[in-house]
Amino acid sequence: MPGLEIAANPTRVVVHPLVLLSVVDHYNRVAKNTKKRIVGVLLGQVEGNTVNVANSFAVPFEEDEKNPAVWFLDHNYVDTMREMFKKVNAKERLVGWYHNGPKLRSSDLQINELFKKYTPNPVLVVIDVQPKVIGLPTNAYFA
Amino acid sequence: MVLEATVLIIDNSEWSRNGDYTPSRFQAQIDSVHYLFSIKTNDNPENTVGVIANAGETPEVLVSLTADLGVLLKGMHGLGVRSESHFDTGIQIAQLVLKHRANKYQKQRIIAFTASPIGADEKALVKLGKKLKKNGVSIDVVNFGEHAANEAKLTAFVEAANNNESSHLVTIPPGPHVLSEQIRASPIVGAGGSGGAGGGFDFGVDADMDPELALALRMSLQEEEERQRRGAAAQSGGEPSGAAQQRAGDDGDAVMEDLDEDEQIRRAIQMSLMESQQEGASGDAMANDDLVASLIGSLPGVDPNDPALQSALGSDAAKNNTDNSKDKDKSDSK
Repeated sequence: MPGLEIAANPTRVVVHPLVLLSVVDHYNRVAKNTKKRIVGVLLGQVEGNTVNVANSFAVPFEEDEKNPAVWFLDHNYVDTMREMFKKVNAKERLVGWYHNGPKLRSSDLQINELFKKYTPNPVLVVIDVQPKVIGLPTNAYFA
Repeated sequence: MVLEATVLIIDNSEWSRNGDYTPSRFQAQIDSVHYLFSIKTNDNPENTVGVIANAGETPEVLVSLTADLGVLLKGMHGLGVRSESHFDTGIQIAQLVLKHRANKYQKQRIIAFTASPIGADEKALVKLGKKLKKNGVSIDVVNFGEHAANEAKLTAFVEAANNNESSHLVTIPPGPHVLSEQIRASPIVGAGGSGGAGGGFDFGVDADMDPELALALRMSLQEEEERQRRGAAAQSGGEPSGAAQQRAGDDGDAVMEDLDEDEQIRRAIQMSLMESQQEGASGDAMANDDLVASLIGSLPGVDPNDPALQSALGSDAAKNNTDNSKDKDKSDSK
């Protein structure tokens, strides 16, 4: 069934504008004038080699700037939200996660491990909320 | 009845495979987690508990703050023993978890188990302790397993974090005792902590395990108290009857307050039994026989009309009467 297979190695990630808006809104609400990072979950579908990201939501996330090993992501929150989203759109599944970088960090690998519990090959999209250059503000990675 | 959010940190490093605590350090911790969870949620229904596993590449939050036992069990399912523990990182992550608690009015508490030598040095631990104090987080540490090695560091740590006696260090040496029983006896639960004496275990087993048993125990205790009260009341009502033995009992009544409670109860029971014998009503004795007969009848495979049984019951009743009069004589002569 299309959309239910997980791509072994996705080659394309399509991010819909709703997601970009949500992420920027999340950033403005929570971390606008701070150095904190925001993290959230991406929902969508996988079709062949393309990951179609159509929706997203923010999650409570906290980390210690000085010690990258210290971070906390509320996964009970992720569980509950996922269950609720399934009720309104069963085809949208958890496909990956995002943060606003702007660069990759060492704890990202560990956070990725957490998301592997929900989907075998989560995609990380780093979204630059304050881009200096006009262009695609996103960068996608998978582990 | 303190409203509290508690994070339990367990040490599932390779050091916990050790069997010097029954059944193994790791299992003893799991057991204690379940016990502490029920203590905290019974204490105040709005309390929440979370669990962090300390070992592995990085400490992992198994269960976010919740008051639901099902969520706790699901989170702890499949937890294994592996690699090394990161005590100080675990504490910092616990702090973050507490920072994100849903109900900001809950007090913050961490209960950490350590069964392996702590890597961090004392200075770092003291700094961490001060940070905990600054953020108003109380911490209890259960030091077992490698307790000798960690004693000094943990004492300094708990000292630094202690604010008004809310933080404790409990050291439990290895032995045949059960870890959760030791914790129950410690200040973590009980007088100092938020458990309180009535942590739900009044009769050794209570509402959690067996609500019907708890109810039955409570009712029988109440009935016993009523019987004693009736015995004492009947005795003081029977003063003017003037029988010799009763008068001797009356003198005893006057100094009833001097006797301790147990003595009073015993005397009251004996007096009520004695009084019923004298009045010839022997209602109690008959009631007892009927009760015994019905109990025996309800036992499977026992025929209440069996003559052997009857004679045994009959001899028992007679034996009881002689015992009671013997006791009464003894207490009168005191």
